[in-house]
Amino acid sequence: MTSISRTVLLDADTQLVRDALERPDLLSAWLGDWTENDDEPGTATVVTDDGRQRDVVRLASTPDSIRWQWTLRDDRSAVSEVHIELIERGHQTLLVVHETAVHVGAGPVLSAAPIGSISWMPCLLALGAVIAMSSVAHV
Amino acid sequence: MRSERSHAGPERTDAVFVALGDATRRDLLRAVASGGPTTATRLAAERDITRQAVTKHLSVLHTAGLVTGRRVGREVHYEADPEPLDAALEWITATGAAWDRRLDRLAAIFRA
Repeated sequence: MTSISRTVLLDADTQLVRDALERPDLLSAWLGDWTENDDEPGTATVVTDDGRQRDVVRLASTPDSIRWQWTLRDDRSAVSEVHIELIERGHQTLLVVHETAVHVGAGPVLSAAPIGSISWMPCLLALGAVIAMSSVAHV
Repeated sequence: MRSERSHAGPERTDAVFVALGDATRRDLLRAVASGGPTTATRLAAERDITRQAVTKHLSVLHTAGLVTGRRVGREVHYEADPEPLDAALEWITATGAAWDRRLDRLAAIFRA
């Protein structure tokens, strides 16, 4: 099992950032069109910018982290877990995102650019390096 | 050890992640990929691990579809197969790119 990580330093305090991770109107502004499922608390639906719909189940929420699992609506085998950490840096907030594949799914992820013709050794070295490091800085 | 590929699908992609999560298996896969068909005996001789351990690791790689085995006499010759890496790389590439876009938008909110 592997995960990708991204880190970004945001010019806002942790409370403002936390709002952006919890309020549907703010989530819709950056993550995707977010709709809470009022009849099933702790769950939501989000349509991300790739046009795909994901069903979200919140797993945990603490003052400095949020964790949810999401599943692609059109490929129920594509399940991953998102863990977002908020770290106070003065008046700024360091946001660390980890997404871990639970199941990768059957459908194409990169429909516009399938990686069917990549050569073997660079492919292995790149993937091995990614898995070994399991972390890529965004900012 | 069968010579045909493992079945494609999400389970195999999961198996690819598991297989490549181990440094020894990555090393063995590099060796098989770069050196052409080889045997567990030869791979063990070049490393400080037993033939049995190499065979176990190759079995995991085979389950992931990353190597195929072909029996030649008393030995199995292993060959690398890059095809299962496509789905794993697609996931890593697409997921990373998606978070790059999302975090760019999030950062822009606070810059405004």
